[in-house]
Amino acid sequence: MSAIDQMRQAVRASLEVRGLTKAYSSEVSVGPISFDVREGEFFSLLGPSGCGKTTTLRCIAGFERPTGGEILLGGARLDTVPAHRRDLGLVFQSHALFPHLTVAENVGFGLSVRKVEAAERRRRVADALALVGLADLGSRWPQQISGGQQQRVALARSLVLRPPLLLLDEPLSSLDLKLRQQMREELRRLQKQLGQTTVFVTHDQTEALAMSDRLAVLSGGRIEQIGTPEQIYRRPTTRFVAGFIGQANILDATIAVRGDDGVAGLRVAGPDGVVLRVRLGEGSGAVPPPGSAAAAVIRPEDVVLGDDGPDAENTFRAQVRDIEYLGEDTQVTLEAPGLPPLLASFKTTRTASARLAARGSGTLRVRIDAADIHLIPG
Amino acid sequence: MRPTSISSRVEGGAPAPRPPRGAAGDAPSARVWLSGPYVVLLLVALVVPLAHLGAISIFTHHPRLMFVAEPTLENYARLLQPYYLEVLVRTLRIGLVTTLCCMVLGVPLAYWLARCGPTALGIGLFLLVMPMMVSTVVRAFGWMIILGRNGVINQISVGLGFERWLFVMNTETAVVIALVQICLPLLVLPTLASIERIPRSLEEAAANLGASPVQLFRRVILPLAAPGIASGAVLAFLVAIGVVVTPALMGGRGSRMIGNEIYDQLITALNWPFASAMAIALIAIVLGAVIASRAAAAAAERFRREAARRRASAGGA
Repeated sequence: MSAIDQMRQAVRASLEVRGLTKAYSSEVSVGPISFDVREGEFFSLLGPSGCGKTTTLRCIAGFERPTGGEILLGGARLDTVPAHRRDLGLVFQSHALFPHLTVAENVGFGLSVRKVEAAERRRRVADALALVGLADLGSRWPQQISGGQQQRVALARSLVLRPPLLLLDEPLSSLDLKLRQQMREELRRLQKQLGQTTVFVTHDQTEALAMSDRLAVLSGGRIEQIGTPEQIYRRPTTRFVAGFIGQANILDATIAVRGDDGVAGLRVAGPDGVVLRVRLGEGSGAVPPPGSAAAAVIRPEDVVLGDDGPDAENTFRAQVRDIEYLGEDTQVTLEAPGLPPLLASFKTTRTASARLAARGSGTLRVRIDAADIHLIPG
Repeated sequence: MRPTSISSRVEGGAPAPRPPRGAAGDAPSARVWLSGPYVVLLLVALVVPLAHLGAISIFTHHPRLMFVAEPTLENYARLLQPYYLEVLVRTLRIGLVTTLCCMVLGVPLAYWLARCGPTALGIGLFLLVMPMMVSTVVRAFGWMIILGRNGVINQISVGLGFERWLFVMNTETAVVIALVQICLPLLVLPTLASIERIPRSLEEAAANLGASPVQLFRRVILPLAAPGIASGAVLAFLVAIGVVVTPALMGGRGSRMIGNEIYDQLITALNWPFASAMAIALIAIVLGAVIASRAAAAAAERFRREAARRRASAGGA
């Protein structure tokens, strides 16, 4: 515990990125990007490759010079400070351990260039190694330890300096699946214990959703949406976010009628498009006026199959086109009159599978709760 | 030198454990024949003449017959005369100074080349290697035109109303200047190849951890590029101590090197046994330098690892 208490002395700081732009050529550019990271927050930048997340991180770290905008750490300008005076922690995807230094020397590198006295350095290196569970490996060479251990050394090497901000550049993507999940939990636990303000860059939505307090989804050099994992998943604001995070049925439609309390009728585009009843919950904004275009986002797990109850809102009979068995989940492609092909998924339990197998004439009753339909601009 | 690694700019990473040789059970003995033609050439053009040279070096000089096959150590004993010892010491001194100058000029240049863009690298490599295509004699004349008593530099000084001030021709300094130009590419190319193999992320990691550019260079680049710098330095040193033309044209009476003495004994004095003895001595120095540099590198590495281990067991860092 003492190691943790020691490390807790870290200066906590908030990060503000304001209108950051980086132009590579007339065609390729990133930004403007703006976001805030609060003190002690775990904030992720999530997006496909080429979305600008790594560029943003490299601008914060000081390896790239932004074309425009400001970066502030704890209220002070950061983007004018050279990289080696920013005092930020950074863990690379490749770990970037120095092959000519031992594990302990790697962890002590930052202290040693800061001319920290040897005894103090030894103590802090030992604390940092203990923190990541590698107390006994100080004398090993980076080539002699496993990928997961290298990752921890890289983390210890940053944390030993008690950085006000820790930057993680896809640190888990070089590890195999099991190890990745384990490191994910460990990283999150450490981050919470230390109250470490962290910016995490990843293309893996599971990682981002599982670890973040908040995340920003990026695409084509811009931020699509910033929110908590739940907001991002349940209430995406753009078509990109809805499609990128998890699976989604995105149905083009127009608002047919608008009722009170966020209730609306939505006519699905296409010939004989059915009208879906929608009930927007709190925080989902207002229903646009009738006649305006909108898209309905329906998560596959919200499409309820083989529901035998009385005919309620949004109930159809659908043909099963395809069944995909994914282990834990089963995915079904459905076709119903007046609707585009619909993806549904359910937990592969015995009863659910039996219900699917017992479908009589090949059609199945399908229901979508009005509250499970989310609207985005069309 | 190493065109593949220079042109392909591998972002390779840390020195990985070497893969086992001859995978999938193909016997290395089958492939050894591929080196056959070269082995034959080596035997005919190197080993046999060398053996001949060694034999002549212990034969007795004869004014008319060139040499007679009477074994003697007189030729080697003559090497210990003060004049020849002085030549030997001067040769080694010129070699060392040249190598040091090449390192001071060449390592930063190699670093810059390794980290500049592909266009600059192409131009830089061309400029670096092009002088190697020009004859040593022509290059020496070039230096004479620039450095001579009535050379470009002095003429410009006079033209500007100053005195002549550069009297460097026919001195050891002039020899070193010309040799640095000859040896620089030999040091830069292996150094460049080894710096290219250092992943950029290591530099970024060092900067991120607070290392200033100087600290980054001293603590990360230099140790990781050391093998390349060492092999480049050995190459530069070996070429520098074996030259004949450069000291003959650039140096004076007081800056003759062992190559000049061998040439004179061989061509002018027709004392082949003594020339052979000097040649064998030069070869011995060369071999000694190679072995010593390897041993030094191994010892340094051992010492460093040992020190790191001791520090670690002393308490964690």
